[in-house]
Amino acid sequence: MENIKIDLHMHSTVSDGTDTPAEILEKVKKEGIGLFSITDHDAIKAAELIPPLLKADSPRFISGTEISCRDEDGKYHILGYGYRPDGKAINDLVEKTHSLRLYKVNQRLEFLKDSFGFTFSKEDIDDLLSNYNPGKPHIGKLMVKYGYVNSKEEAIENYLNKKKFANCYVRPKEAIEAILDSGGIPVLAHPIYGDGGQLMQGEEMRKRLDKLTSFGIKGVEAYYSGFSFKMINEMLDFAKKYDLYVTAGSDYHGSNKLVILGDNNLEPDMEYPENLLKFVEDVHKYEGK
Amino acid sequence: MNELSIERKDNELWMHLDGRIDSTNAPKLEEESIAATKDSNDLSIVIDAAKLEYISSAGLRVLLHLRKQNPTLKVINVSPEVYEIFDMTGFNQMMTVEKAYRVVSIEGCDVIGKGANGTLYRIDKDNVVKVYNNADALDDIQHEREVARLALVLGIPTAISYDVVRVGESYGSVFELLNASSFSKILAKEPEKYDWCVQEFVKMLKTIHSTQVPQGKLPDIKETVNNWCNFVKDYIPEEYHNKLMKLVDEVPSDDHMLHGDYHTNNVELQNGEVILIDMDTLAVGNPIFEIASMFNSFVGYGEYDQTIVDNFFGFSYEVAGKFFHDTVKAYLETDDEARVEEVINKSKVIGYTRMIRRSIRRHGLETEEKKAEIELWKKHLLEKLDETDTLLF
Repeated sequence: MENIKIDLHMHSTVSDGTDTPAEILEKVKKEGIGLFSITDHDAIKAAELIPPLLKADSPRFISGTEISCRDEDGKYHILGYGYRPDGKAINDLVEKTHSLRLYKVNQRLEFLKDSFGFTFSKEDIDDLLSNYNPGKPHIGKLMVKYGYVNSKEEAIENYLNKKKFANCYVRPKEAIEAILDSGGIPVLAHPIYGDGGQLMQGEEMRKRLDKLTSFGIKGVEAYYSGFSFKMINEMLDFAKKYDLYVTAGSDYHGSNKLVILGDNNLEPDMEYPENLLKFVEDVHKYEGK
Repeated sequence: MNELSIERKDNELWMHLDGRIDSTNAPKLEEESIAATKDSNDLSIVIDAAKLEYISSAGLRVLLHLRKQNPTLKVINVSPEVYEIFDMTGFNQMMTVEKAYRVVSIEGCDVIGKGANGTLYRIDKDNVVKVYNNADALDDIQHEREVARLALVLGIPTAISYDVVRVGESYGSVFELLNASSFSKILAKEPEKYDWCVQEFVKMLKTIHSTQVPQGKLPDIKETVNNWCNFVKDYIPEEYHNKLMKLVDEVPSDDHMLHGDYHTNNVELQNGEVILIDMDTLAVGNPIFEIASMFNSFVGYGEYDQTIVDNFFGFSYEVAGKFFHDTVKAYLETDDEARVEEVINKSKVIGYTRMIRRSIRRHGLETEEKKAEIELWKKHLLEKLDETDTLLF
């Protein structure tokens, strides 16, 4: 029997994707994906926007989010699935990440002005802050527009990264607890890549999982579009060892990235691992509650 | 961005990576890839990593996503350091990754042999490189490696290449040949060793011809010979051509090994051991076809212009003729000169056929000199066809 097609990691215009949640729903249908989740960075708005669009024959939808976290040991992206969109803890968490972001953007703009004399029009600043998730890339783009730098990369590396923030972030423990509190399943996103730019295998991964499981993490995204088979197998082994759920995600962002919707190296004609099937079954319990 | 330059070659999109690709510039690599591939899905993407010093997981991911959009994508010229990253992360299983070839110069190197497919140079005391004539020789190199390995397994002493290198615009394969000297060199420099050379040359030949090859492992020489015969169809009278085809057809199939290009440039003495090189023509078949090829090398090619043979071996045409005659005599284990002549005459049927084809294919019938050469061989071929009723001996 053919398995259900799954994609549990996608970004919409709520964060940095280029498709609206409704457009993603259409593409998911077209691709024949049977179970999907939209996981915008530090946001849960798609979990409100999608359910009214669903019909009886629509693909199954799971509420989702991807929270950027950090502690003394590094950076993490924690996925949350199947939480109650009206849950207080998850709403407080998202609110906190959002206000931290706004605070940091304002601090950075001041830093650019004080240290280098880079200023921007009020209109552009308002525009910047009206982004759901304004961050370094957005400020970098603006700096290029004003001719302060030649590229976004130069802006980030030579200017924006010079401004440091102490304790101005969400810790993984906070994120995991908030997701659990609102009835969701916390899952470590693209584990081997940390928050995207690292490469953590073997002992490093073990240490990370020791800590995160003690906080209550329940799964790992072992199937990921950017993983090699070797990485997938390593994460499947870890999932078995720590008795964790396995999830599968593409990290689709729309037309601004090469990632293909639905691609996560999981093939519908192969045998799905047990802890993936269990996730699909268990996450259901939380839906709509 | 200096890390990436993009070039369109017909249906191929070449992306040259330079320096380091990591999380600071991987997004830009992705952006530019999207822009470059946007309107053409059927492009073959070639990632040239010749100047790439480092690539992080962020860069590897961009390549992986590109490969998923364009399944024929390949990464070439990968340095050992960068290949290590592909290997460690398992990305070499996700796409075609070709290592960079070491570059070897043959400037000022001694030519120690010249075969149909390439030239052998000594690059240092212990190593030789065979530079292939065909610029796109990777398949040929792979084939030669495989047949050399097969020969070694079957008990034929030979050298196996341990590295593939770039030599100018061509490819070469590198062999270890310690203190080795070809039989041609020995015959040229130490004529007193003539008898020993004949004896060892024949011993090796008999070893080859007594080696049974598992079915399908080597090509059947008869198929090749049939091609030669078909080629000369338009150049000789029909009844002669029919006879030629019949003679070849009547030679039974044989599963014993033939070298295919057996002459004194391809037999080496290395630390007292006689070894065989230039294995790409290995085949199975009746020994008459091997003797025909030997006749061409030692005698045939020099019949019109003997300097061809002088230059090829480094010893005189007279010595070459005598060496061929004595080899056949020892091979047949006979003192009967008539018997030796009989077998040589049979071999000439195939020898001339092949030489006519080769000359026409290489030079055409344009120059008077080549025309005369081909006429001479044609005359000999028809004479031999008149005399010969079977190629078996």
